[in-house]
Amino acid sequence: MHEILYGLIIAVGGSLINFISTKIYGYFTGKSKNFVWQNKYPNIKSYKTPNSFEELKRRARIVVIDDEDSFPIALFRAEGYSIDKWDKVLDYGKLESGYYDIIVLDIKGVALHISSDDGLGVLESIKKNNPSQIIIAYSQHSFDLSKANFWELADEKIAKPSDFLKMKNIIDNLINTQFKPERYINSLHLLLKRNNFSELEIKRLDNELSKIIKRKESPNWQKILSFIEDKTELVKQIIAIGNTILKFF
Amino acid sequence: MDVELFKTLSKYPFIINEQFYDSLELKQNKTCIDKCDTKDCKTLSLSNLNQQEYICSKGYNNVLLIIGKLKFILNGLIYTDNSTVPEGRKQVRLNWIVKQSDVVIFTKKLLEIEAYLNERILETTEKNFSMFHDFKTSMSIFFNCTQDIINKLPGVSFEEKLKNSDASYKDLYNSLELITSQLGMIDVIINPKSIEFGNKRAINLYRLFEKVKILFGHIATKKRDITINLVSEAWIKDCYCHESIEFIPLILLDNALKYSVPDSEIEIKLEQSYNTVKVIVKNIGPFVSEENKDKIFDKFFRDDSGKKFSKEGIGMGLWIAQQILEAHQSKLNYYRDLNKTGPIGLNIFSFDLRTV
Repeated sequence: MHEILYGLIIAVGGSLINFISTKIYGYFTGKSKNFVWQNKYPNIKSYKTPNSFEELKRRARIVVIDDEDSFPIALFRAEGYSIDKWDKVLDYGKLESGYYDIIVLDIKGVALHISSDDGLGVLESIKKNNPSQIIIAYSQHSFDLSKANFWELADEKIAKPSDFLKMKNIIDNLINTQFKPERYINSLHLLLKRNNFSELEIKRLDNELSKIIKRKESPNWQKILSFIEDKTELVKQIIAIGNTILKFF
Repeated sequence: MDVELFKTLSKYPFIINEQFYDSLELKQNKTCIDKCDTKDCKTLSLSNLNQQEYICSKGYNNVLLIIGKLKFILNGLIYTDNSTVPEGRKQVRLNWIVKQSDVVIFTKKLLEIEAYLNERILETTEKNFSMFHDFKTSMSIFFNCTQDIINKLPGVSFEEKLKNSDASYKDLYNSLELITSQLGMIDVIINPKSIEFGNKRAINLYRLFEKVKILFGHIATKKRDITINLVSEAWIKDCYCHESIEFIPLILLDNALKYSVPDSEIEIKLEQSYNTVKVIVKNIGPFVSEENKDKIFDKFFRDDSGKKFSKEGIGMGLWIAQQILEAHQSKLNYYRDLNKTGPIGLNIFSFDLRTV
């Protein structure tokens, strides 16, 4: 009887020590280990994501913000792009939060109700809050010397007017080269490093994201980012990039 | 601001590009011109600090003034508190004795004038070119209508529909592309920075020239019975370029067409060596005079031989092409057949671009 009891105590004690060890290891390395010391959640970059262009094209949410009807929305939709059209900035929150993967933005007549600098003000603000947001400058004002910032800040430009095939080529190129989870993950890491977060904290955040992907849960950002104090701007930026990353899985 | 305007405005003598200039009100200090061998005041131009002061080896006050891209040095002055110029010299250089505060006010005024001029230039440019806004809007409508027509043709994708369409549809679509490209060139004239707008991407020069060759095919045959021959001995690799590179074939072919004699051939040759593509455009037409062969790449410059041969053109194409190639670390070169003595002969434009 005593042997069984000792055996149980040793087993429970060993398990407890093992459990505490995995927690301590996790605390110092940012990695989650299971009972047999295997990684609980894979590295965020090791998850399989859609690779085919057609799949990425279907997933990429595009919004065109233009006060004119020059952008061939119907042609894009007919070719399987997920594309919305706004005559002016209708929901700035959606733009800032990373809801749209590609924003095609005109410079004039689209945002005077929210910024005196119109499209330029919107572009500057989005890029400040979410530097990894893909924005295409779409305007017929590329001769405008006073608007140089608009063109320089944007990731790509489409001159107005342009033909459908040229526009498609530019957007396809962005989807192929920029609309990749690795780019957003790297961008998130860079943002954290710039704000003096340690490698350990970055790994912990990766681990949290990995956990959400594996469990297919909605992120509780308040809990995940509880290690960041008094940095509202930064939290907003991380949430925007984080949401974009999670969209791929 | 240029030298002439500065000369008119300046109260003080000055140096620009190592040349000494009198102002309308005050000539150069004789010591600076005749008695100073070192002319160390010129070293001030090495500085990038606007309004930097310097007392030269002869004891005179000099001040650097940076206006736009130009560096002016107000030289040979004697500030009222200057103690380095001997009293005897001061007596014979009374005109050059000035208050430092006056010089400071003068430089401030000039900087304000420059800022005002820049503002007005921006304003005028915008006003002059705002008319293109309406034109571009009309072009957008034109594009949409054309695309709608093509979209109704049989085929799965737009590209397929266009590919399978009648030649007239293709010509219509291509012509619209040509007009929009030409509109894009206007943007470059006004704002050369627009050359580098957008990301660089892999672009195939052979395909670009092929496309433009088709666009110009009609004009070439109809106008002067000119044939365009595009050749490449090997597969041409892609170049990593800004979208503006698309203007290069347009400009070179337009230029060659404009200055080709009737019933002649324009040859476009692309050569691929290890990691470079060389583009050579040859045509038979009027020679550019020897003294102007570099000037043809200047803004608004046209050689007399060109003006006599063709009334078309304002002398902007080659300047745009050169700006675009410079932005891609390349250069457009012009050669002529040196064995020919007459006014007409073989003209060659060439450039190299690194391939991916």
